[in-house]
Amino acid sequence: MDARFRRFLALLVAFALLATMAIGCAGTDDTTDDTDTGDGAAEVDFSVAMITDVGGLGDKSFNDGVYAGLENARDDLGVEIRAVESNEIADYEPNIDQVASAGYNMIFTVGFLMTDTTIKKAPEYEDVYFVGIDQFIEEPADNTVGVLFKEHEGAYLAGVVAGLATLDPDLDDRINDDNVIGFVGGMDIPPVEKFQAGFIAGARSVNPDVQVISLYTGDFDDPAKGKEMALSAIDQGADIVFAAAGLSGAGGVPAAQERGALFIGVDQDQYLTIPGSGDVMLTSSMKLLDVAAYDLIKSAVDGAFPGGSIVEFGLAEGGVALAPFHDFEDKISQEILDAIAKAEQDILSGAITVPASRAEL
Amino acid sequence: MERAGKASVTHRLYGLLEQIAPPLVSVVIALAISSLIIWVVGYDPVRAFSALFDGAFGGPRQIGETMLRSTPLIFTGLAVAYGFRAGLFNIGAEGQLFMGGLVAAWLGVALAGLPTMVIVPIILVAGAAAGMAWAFIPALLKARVGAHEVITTMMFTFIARYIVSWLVTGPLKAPGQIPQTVQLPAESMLPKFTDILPELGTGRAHLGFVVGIALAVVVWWVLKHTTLGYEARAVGFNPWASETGGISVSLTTVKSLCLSGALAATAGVTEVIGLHGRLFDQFSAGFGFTGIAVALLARNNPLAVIMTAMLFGALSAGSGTMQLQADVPSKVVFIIQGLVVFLVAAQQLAVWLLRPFKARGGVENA
Amino acid sequence: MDAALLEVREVTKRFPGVLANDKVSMSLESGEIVALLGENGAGKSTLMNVVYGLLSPDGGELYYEGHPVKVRSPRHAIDLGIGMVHQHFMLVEPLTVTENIVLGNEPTKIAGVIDFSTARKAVAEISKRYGLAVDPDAVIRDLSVGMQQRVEILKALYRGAKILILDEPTAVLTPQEVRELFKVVRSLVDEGLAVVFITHKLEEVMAVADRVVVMRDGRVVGEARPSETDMAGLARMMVGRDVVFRVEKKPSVRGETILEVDGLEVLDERRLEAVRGMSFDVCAGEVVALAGVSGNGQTELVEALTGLRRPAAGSVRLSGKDITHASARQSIEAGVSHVPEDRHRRGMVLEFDLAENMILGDHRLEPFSRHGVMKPTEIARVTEERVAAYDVRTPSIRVLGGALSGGNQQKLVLARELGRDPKLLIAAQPTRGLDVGAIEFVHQQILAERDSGKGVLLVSLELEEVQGLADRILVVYEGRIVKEFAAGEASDEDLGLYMTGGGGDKFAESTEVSVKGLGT
Repeated sequence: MDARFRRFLALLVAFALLATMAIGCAGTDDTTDDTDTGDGAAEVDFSVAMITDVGGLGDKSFNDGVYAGLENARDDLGVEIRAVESNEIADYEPNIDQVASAGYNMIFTVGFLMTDTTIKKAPEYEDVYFVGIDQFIEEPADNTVGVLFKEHEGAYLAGVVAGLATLDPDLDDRINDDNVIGFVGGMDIPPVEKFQAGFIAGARSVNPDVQVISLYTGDFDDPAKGKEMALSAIDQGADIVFAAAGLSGAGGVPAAQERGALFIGVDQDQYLTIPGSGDVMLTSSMKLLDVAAYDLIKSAVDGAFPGGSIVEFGLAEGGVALAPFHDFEDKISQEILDAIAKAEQDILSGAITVPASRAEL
Repeated sequence: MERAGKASVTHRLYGLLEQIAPPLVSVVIALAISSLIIWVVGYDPVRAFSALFDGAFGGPRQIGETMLRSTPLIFTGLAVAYGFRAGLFNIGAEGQLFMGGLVAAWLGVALAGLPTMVIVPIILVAGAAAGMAWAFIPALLKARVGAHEVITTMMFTFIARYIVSWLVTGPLKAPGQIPQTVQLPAESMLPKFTDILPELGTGRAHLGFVVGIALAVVVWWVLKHTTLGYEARAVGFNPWASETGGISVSLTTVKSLCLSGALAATAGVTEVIGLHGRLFDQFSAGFGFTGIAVALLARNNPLAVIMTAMLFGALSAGSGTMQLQADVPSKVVFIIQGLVVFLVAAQQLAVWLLRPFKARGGVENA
Repeated sequence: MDAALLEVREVTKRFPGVLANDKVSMSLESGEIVALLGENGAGKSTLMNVVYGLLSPDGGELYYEGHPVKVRSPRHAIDLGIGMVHQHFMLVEPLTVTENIVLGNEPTKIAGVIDFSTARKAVAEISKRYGLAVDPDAVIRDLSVGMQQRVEILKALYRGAKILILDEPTAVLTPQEVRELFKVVRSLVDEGLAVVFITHKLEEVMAVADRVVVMRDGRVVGEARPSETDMAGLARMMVGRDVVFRVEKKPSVRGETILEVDGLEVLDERRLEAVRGMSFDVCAGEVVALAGVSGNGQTELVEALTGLRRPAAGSVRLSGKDITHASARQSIEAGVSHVPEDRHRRGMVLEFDLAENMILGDHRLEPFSRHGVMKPTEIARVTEERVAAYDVRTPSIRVLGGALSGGNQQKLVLARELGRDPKLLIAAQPTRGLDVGAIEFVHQQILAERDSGKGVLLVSLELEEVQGLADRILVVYEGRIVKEFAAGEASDEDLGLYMTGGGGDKFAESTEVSVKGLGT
């Protein structure tokens, strides 16, 4: 009886476990797709869909950024929007087919992994506008725009901040005597290299002797590895670490907190997207995907879609920017603010061309 | 003789039922629980599943999509199943898959210019050989020093992925922004069904699916009708008795793991020359690992692997439609997959938990 | 005192497809030893598992001291005063005798601290009272099997057993240990206990039981007092037909030497020398029996002879050909057939069907396969033939090996090993765990093999088997051959003495000197 009961209990526990697991899974699952149109704005008969890459919505990176642009367009312009998530790379094509045949007027494909798919699919749906975010498309079709960002311009500003801040012990007691800062990259691919080159160039422009320790995690989705790299940079004397490594880079925040260093975020204002990071988050080098997405939707609605071209969003186009200093607002010296303003001016005026690769440094 | 034959037919039928029923029940229960979850979270399960079904089987293009998604899973499912039959847990199918993909991407370019009829078979064989070679070292470690294959093949998966990662960002990188190899020329590609018969309308589905089914039959035949398969199964069931029967356990281990590796690598080959046309970091959606679930659900029966791979393929193919038509997040299919696997495992747990009751009946025979 | 201590009335127990107990009734009085006799599968253990609360019956009642009881669990059985010693001991190996005995029933001081001095005293007292001498501080894993069994018995007594059920207690013991056990059992009943002795060995029944209850096919088929019956009578009841005990044996016609073993040394898993320089030979047409207590190097010797283990030194020749370092496959192909001591582990693949099991070892050869492709029709044909010839009882050759009874499994192994027409048959404990009918069959087959001019090396722990089959007997002790006897030359006592290291100085030298060829 006794043994039998115990076995029954074990089965019961197994089942309960299953149930909680299932419900737990369900909990993570309410990244709903909106099909609603904005209420405030005038209705326009225009619909926009985005196909996420495998990161999906909630990545706090480019998928979310593009979606924010879509939401703004919905609210301001009254377009209908829709996000379709991809579970795997094989989903890209059928997802595009599905939204294209469902009658959407404009489709955003997000992430460089979708470049091939955009090139292949766009000609099949000539009356649909295609926008490839982060996609370098040679000779885009007439209905297609490839969107690239001048990450190096934003990173240059971050470099200016870091280059001066590491010499400024009054800024924070975590600033040490070493003239060393750190860079943590994801995969060693051109967009990340742009961040690195811009950051180094910016730092050297104000602090020619600064040493920049550059490390790569090799991926974008492993915060543990990002933390490891950040720790390594900090242990070599870096007091400010700039991470351009997607989710991996987020691991730099706890690293900075543990070792007493400062952090510069990437893509979005990470002060807002990484909760509890305020005490180390000096600023972020933002890629304003929402601005890019919004602008392109607006141009399409207005009948001025720049099809057949590659559109680059840099400082001038409002595609990259430095985030607010938030908790460090009061501590940032006027010298740094002036240097940022000067750098911005020089870039806009063309006085400086920010290097986009290590080779150009 | 007549009676014995009859008895053996009913015996087989019963055995078949006994094999099919439990996984089927698992799938049904998994769908039921998923429905409940979908309903609790606030969606319409009927709409969700009809959309899922529609997306997987609603028309020739959808069926083609299901075939496309099943293809790599058939190979990895077969790989894992063959390993299991020989008592080996090839958890590193993913790594062997990467090596297959690598060889395919390389040869696809290197052999460009030759006719498809020549290139594709060479790539298939060479890719399989690469997977075999990749499995050989763990196999040797197992046979010689008893290093457990779960550890070693997993290690080799990491190594394979990093090698591919390095090659596509470095030496083999195509010109341009993206870390990937160059696009293979058309003659290096496995033809699509629509290349042969456009009216089929099966979209991206390619001949890899046929290769998969053929290999499933071959693996089944090897296991059942060759001394190679006989020895693999004998060692898988009882290495001591096999040894006594003159079967070299270590040699059989090496052969079996290598064969498993060859099968897994074929998944990588067909993904590259059937679908993507090039190699890049994320070209596999963890097919090597899903293959474990596919094999488990098929109870390591090669022919059943076709069915379970198609089930997983259908879930994958239908998820997009489910998302679009029923507003259910596509990630829900992962819940269904997870539940199916969990229930199959739980069922084995239940069998294990209930074993003492059964065993007691056999005490007298001990 | 009119009511029996324990009475079983019409107990029925069903398992899927089997009626294990069919309205079984029996009773037990204090101060008596009742042997429960029957072949494997007759329902003996099932019945006692019902009594001990491990199984709940589908019908019938139990009366304990005249009152109806439902035994809910072993714990309940123990509380009632029913103890059981299983074939597989349930002892915790790293713990001491005392710790094992009091486990689950520890005398405690305040705050649950185990009172070991009280426990030791209690154990010593019981062991003295029943004449069961055991060192209370010895660690279980250092004890011999016989001693471990004693600890199991003490455990039951410590918990206040009035009824002691012994499930096949002699299966694991040496002849000397068996005699010891019988003495212990006798002293227990003298103290007023009742003992149920489950067995399928007739001579034990004759030696120890006051009363015997015979079961066959789940039913009680008879009851007798050993004094009023004989082995043949009991065997008839048990098997349901007449049984030949001593197989009629033709005189041996010895031919050429088949197996020559010279100075063989073999290491075991722990790299210790298990076989320490054995030399002997086996000729065509004779059965050479290796008699000895388990664990004296027999397993390692057999493994070395069959290519499963590399000898450390010495040589093995088969018909003049050196096979010292042959692999198992080469050994089979050279003509050595092997009936392993552990059927389930080495003898067959339980998950394979009969046909697949039948070809194990020959699967690469014609007619079973060619160029690596198996030939199912040939395999089925040969299997059907052999299954019929060796009387393997099975509904079909597609039944899994694990589904057969022990006797039929052994017949299957014999059918395979003899079917390939070997030069030499090495049979290690070929009748272990088999019932009378199957033993008889196996013995006949071994002798038939001898008579057809094969060499047979028989390794056995059963003296009766050794005496009955062997033309020559080699006694092994601690990895050496300590004595050779010709058939009929030695009594069981003589053999027992040499097997346990006795035999004195007379043979001290003969372990050094080769006993090779003594019989020629």
